[in-house]
Amino acid sequence: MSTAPAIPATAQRRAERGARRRRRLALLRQHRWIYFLMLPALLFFVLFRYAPMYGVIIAFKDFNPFGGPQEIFFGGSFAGFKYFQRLFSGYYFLPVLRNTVSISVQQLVLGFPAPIILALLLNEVRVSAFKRTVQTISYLPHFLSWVVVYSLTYALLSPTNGLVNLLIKSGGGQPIHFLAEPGMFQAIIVATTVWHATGWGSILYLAAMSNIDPNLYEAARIDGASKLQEVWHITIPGILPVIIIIFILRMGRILDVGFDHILAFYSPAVYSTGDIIDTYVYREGLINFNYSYAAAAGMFKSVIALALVVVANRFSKRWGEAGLW
Amino acid sequence: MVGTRQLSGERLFQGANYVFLSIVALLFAFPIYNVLVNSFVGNLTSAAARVNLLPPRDSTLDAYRMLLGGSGQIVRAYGVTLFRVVVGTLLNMLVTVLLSYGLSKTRLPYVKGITFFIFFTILFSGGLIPTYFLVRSVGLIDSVWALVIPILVNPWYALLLRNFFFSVPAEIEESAVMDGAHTLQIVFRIVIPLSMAAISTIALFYAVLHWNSWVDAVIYINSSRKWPVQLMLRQIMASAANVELSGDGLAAFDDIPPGFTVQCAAIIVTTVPILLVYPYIQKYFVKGVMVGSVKG
Repeated sequence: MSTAPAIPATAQRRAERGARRRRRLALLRQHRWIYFLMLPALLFFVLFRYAPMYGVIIAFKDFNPFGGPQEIFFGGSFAGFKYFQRLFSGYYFLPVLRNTVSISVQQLVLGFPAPIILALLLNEVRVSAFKRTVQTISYLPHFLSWVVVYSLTYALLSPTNGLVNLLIKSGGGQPIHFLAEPGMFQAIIVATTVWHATGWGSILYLAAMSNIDPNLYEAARIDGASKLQEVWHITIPGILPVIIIIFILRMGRILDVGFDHILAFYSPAVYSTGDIIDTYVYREGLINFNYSYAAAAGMFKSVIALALVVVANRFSKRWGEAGLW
Repeated sequence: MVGTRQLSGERLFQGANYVFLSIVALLFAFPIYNVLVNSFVGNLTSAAARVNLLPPRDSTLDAYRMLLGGSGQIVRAYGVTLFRVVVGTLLNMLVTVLLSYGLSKTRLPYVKGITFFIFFTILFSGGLIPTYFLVRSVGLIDSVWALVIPILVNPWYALLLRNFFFSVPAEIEESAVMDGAHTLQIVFRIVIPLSMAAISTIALFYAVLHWNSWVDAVIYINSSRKWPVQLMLRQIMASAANVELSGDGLAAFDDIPPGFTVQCAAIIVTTVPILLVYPYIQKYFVKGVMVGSVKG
């Protein structure tokens, strides 16, 4: 008795599933051109993004790097975690990791509040031509490559012709080779990061500020609030959601110091403080040909980065903010 | 009493704010000004390096003539950069637009899955070494196409463009379908013309990306003849002496401009196009940043 109604239910479900599949097939056929047009891009992602993900397998094997694709991606002998062990017990791993985190934390501490402060100050400017001019100038560094930023920095800091050293020399001092000074390298990286990103970073905060209800300021003024109180009690709470989400997403990229930034600025003289995971991977792999070892180091970073982004996104959602997904 | 005190406090703050922001703007612009001034320095003034806060009296354009005259390296490098900016951006846009159009049809089967497939590449990558082997395997090493093909579609930009495409009114497309229009016609005659502002924004993103990229050339390009201008600048900064002179190079100059002047001129030559263009394109960028911040 109890099984009797189950049979028609199953049949009905099967019929429904069949109908759904037919509908889906009809949609696919009807819109086949939409899928067809996506094909070039999908092929690109399979070949240039997903194939290298499979390619991290070289971190786990010994292979002939001068062989063809067949040898590199499918050949070689299994090496297990040999290269990871070598990485973690190696002499360079800890310093490189420490440099990466150290530079990144400094970039965060100085670079994160800078655009907020700039936006707060710009928000108080009443002369719109002045505001626009400062904004436009502040965006400028964003459009320059790190090679150009390095070159501009060199023109200021070079021991022979750099403006700063010319001033030091004219003051009777000895020139300082700032860019080859391990003790100063991280500070230079952080300073150029702030220079490069602050103006551009202020855009989102300014946009958030322009969405704050002007009546709030009006009411505060009637209540006799000072400028500082207005900023503290209205402007900052108004942009807090944006601050939180940008902060959390930034935390997820804590290992991203900027490969091209460091590569443009560093030199063997400052490896001790300037070498980061990305540059280490680049040198070990493409200069010293320790491919498996370098791929292992790169994979270490990719996996940590993925974990950090996932955690950061979860936090962002827990705080009631929009996540990346 | 309280009112006037507050007023003067406010005025003080306003004044200080203008002064401070002016200094900040100066800090943003000064490094470029410094290089510009020093790019005009002739041999006389530079006998001993000295501070130039204004263009020196014996300013010359020798360094520029040396860099740009004849078949200098930097001119060839400009050609490579122009190739990647023009051809690269066109290919980027063609493939990205077609992808984003499909991604915007979220109600079609599998589109959400495809979107995640694209999005995941933002979160995770194989890394530098496997990507290098892939590029080598497809035979792109030392080809200028290695500067174009491996960055054919940027997943961020594709998703951004998809967000723009959401706002194309469905009714217009539907009525075109009724009239028997082909998907290609809908994309090229309706969707693209209606989204020109968004498409320009993404195209500018790609173009600036191409203009400023150089690490890919470090990794994939061996022969300096195929270097983009950014990488050539890096070489010139490493040693001004290595600047290859044009055929009539040395003979044309009584005095060879000092190395530092040549370096500064090279920076300006590399930077001027973007300096001239960016004030006009910044509004597109700002719009892109804002849309990108809205979750799609």
